[in-house]
Amino acid sequence: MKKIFCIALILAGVFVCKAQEDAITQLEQGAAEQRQQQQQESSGNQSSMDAALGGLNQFFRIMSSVDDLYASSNSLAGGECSPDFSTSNQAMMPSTCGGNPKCNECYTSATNELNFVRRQLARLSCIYNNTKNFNQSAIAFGDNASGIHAVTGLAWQYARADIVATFNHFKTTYDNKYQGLMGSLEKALKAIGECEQQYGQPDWYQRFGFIYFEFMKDKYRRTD
Amino acid sequence: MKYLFKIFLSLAGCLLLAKTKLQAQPFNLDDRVVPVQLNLVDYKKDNPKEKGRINVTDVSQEKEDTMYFFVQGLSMYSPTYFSINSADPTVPINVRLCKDNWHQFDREGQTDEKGQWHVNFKTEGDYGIMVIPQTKPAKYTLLTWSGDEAKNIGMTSPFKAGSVDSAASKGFLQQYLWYIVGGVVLLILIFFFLAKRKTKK
Repeated sequence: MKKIFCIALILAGVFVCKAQEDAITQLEQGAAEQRQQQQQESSGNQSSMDAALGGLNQFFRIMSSVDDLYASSNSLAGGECSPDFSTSNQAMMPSTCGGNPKCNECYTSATNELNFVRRQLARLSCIYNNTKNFNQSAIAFGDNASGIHAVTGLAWQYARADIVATFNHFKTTYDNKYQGLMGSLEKALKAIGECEQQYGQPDWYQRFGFIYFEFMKDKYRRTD
Repeated sequence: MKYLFKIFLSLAGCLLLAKTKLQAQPFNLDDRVVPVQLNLVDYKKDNPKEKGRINVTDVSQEKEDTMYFFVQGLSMYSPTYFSINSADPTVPINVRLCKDNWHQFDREGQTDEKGQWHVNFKTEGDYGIMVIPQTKPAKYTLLTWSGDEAKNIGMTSPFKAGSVDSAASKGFLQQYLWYIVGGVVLLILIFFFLAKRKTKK
């Protein structure tokens, strides 16, 4: 009898888990495109899914490229970080071999690498700031909400300590990633320096690239 | 042996019945809020403008007053489009998008006379969706599309226009040549002047 009860318990669990998923159906890969194809070919009544895909197509028609779509989009949250690519006047670097086609070819590869690192640094900085704000907001929210009941307050203290510890670990992760990107930045600047050495200004890295490198180190160094 | 078998079966049953609590943003202290993850899948890989990832989900909301969903893995360099389409346009549905926690709404709206509401934005990481239909049951479709990362993201150049300052590039001799020549001429003139005075004496 007891054995039958245990088996029934397991089977009940299987059915409950299955039932919880019935109300939500997510399209698998490739299904959205197929649906759109069918929608274009048929002229019958639209389901809500067809209307959703039609709305997306309408959105695509308005914009001519991904860059346009990106430019027309604002940040979701008001206080969300936007990437900062500005450079101080003192750190701006001269480029001396612009008219030389061979130099341009050398420059293209090196500046692509430089711009990639700049994108990653800006993203790293925004992720850090957003996470920091999120944590502060969560802790403030929890501190206010946990005062309602003693038991809730105690449970919150444990959760709070966990959040703080996790964020401290995140700071270490940021510092490690920062070091790695600084290494890549230095490498990209030295590559530009080599182009300048061949076609333009000798000692370019020592005179200009290094100043920019120091500027970027200070800009993205974590100060808290 | 029988005793161990019973323990194993009991544990297996408990694990299946236990609700898995997902670690997800927005932040939440309420155990009753269990957001459903909307998984993004690849979309139109060959189309340069529309290429990205998409989630299309049909929902039939019958019991809960509010349903919670979240989408993960977004890039701040990619445009994101979200829409909700109601199967019955006569039933208005309120929708809220949340970033940090479920009490702070970053975007909110209601389906229009066609049963539609949409918004586009950019964000890093994830965001949450709250759906509150005015009547139940309510059937609707949620759609999230996230494009590829844009190439032009407003990155300014770190290079100065034009070439390096000429004073900085020349050596000492080249920079002060005329001063040196002028100084030598002056010395010669002084020498001749002094030599002439001495001869007169």
